[in-house]
Formats: sequence, C-alpha cells, structure tokens
Amino acid sequence: MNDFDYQQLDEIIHSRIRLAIMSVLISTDEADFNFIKEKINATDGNLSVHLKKLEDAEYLSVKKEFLDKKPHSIYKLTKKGKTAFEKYIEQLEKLIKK
Amino acid sequence: MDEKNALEDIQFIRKIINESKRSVIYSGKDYIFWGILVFIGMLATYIFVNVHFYFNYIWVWVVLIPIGWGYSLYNRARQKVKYPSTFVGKIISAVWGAAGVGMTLIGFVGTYSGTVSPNSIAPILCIIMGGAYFATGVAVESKWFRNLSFAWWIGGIVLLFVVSITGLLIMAFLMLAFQVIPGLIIYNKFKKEFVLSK
Repeated sequence: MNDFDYQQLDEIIHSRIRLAIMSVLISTDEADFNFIKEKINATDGNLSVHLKKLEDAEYLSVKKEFLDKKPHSIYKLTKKGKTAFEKYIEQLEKLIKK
Repeated sequence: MDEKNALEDIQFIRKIINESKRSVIYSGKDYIFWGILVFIGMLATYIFVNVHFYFNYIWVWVVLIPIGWGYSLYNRARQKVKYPSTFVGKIISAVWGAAGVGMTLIGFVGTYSGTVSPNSIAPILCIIMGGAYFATGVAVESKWFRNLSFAWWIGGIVLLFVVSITGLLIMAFLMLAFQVIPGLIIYNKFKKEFVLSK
C-alpha cells in the first residue's frame, strides 16, 4: 500500500531553483546571497525572485546588514522551512517506493 | 510527477547538499599570520641565545601567542559574518582549534610544569601540525595539503634528533616553507575565486 498523493507535494518547494535554495540552506547554518548564487548557478534577478517567494512562505528568514559599506543579506531556513523540506523529501520517497 | 522525476529530485538534492557541505571559503590568513609569528619567535630566541642575551625565553611566547589567538579569534568572527558555516568548514575549525589549544598547553603548561623539556616542544608541535594538516587535507580532498603533513612529520623526526639551538632554526624554516607558503597559495586562490564570485 502506498499513500503518495501528488497534491500533497509542496508547491513552494516543487520548483528546481527553490528546491536548490532549500538544499543549500539545509546543509549550512546560514548562507549569504553570493554563496547561494554560486552553489546553484543562478542569476541575481532569478535568485532574488525565488528567495522572496520562500521568504513570503516563511520558509526562510533574512538578515540584512552592511558589510564593508555594502548591503549583505544572510538567509537561514526557519523551523517551518525545515519541516516543509523534510515533508517534501518524505513525499518523494513515498513516490519512489510506490 | 512520476517515480523517475522523484528519483531525479532526490539525486539533485543530494548533489547540492554534498557540494554545499564540502564548500570551504577560507582566506588562509591564519596560516600566514601564525607562520610568521612562530618564525619570528623561533628566530628571535635563536638570536638571543647566540648573542648571549639570556632571559626566560618563555616571555617571547607569552607576547606572541596571545597576539596569534587574538588575530585568529578576530578573523573567525569576521569570517562567520562574511561566509556561511559549512560542515567541512566546521571540521577544519575544530581540527585547528583543538591543535592550537594542544600546542599552547604543551608550550606553556608543559614547560612551566617541567614535564616537557624545552627541546621537546618543537618536535611535538611539528607532529601535531602534521596531524592537523593531514585531517584538513582529507576533509577538503586536497592531496597537496594532505601531503604537507608528511613534511611536518619528517621535520618532527629530524627535530627529535637535533638537541641544540639549531632546532630553532629548523623549526623557523619549517614554518616558512610548510605554513606561510601554503597560506600564501590559499590566499591567492581565495582572492581569485572571491573576486570572480562577486
């Protein structure tokens, strides 16, 4: 018996770029914009849009500060984001076991 | 979504997580700073002995070592703000932090208590350095960095047989060749990559 339901897949995470962002952040305590950009090979504009979506869903928190007089944003997964990511992985595993 | 897509997603997530965990953004400044600091300490002690300027040479280290720790802690705080803390990064910090504390205790407490003879300090430090280089090289999957450990261990063996002030000169050379130069290589690589990623 398998209880996989594709409708249960989290639409926020179910996008390659957002999945990549979540994967980077799950493996680091926190990461800045440049680090995420380099790891997932995204453009500034594209990355900003998807980071905002994740932030709006409260899956990640952002800390903005100035470093060497330049704006510097540090992103971190929230508890809600970690839970959503784990649930997403569980759903994928269920689908594979189907 | 089908099973194939799900499997691809899992592989994709695993790949990104593995790559992120392995990432280390390190400037190599600590290597250079500590290397120069110990080089100065060894050379100064060698010169003081040679010119018959006698005093308790531990004071050279009482001045230099806290400067090194102060710099390392400042650098660590700055690095933490600037760059993400990754799994491998934490391992390397732990390895060098533990090695540093060990060397400081042997150098100060060991000599103060009289348990460690002043002649044994340099070879012991070399052997600890070898261990730290080996662990770091394995963690960052860098053969050249891992192989530096053999230079340190060989240096340690040599120093175990050199029971004279020449040992200070050998240690000073080891610091320049196998600490400062690797630090400069890391720093140049860091500068290129950091500028490119901006």
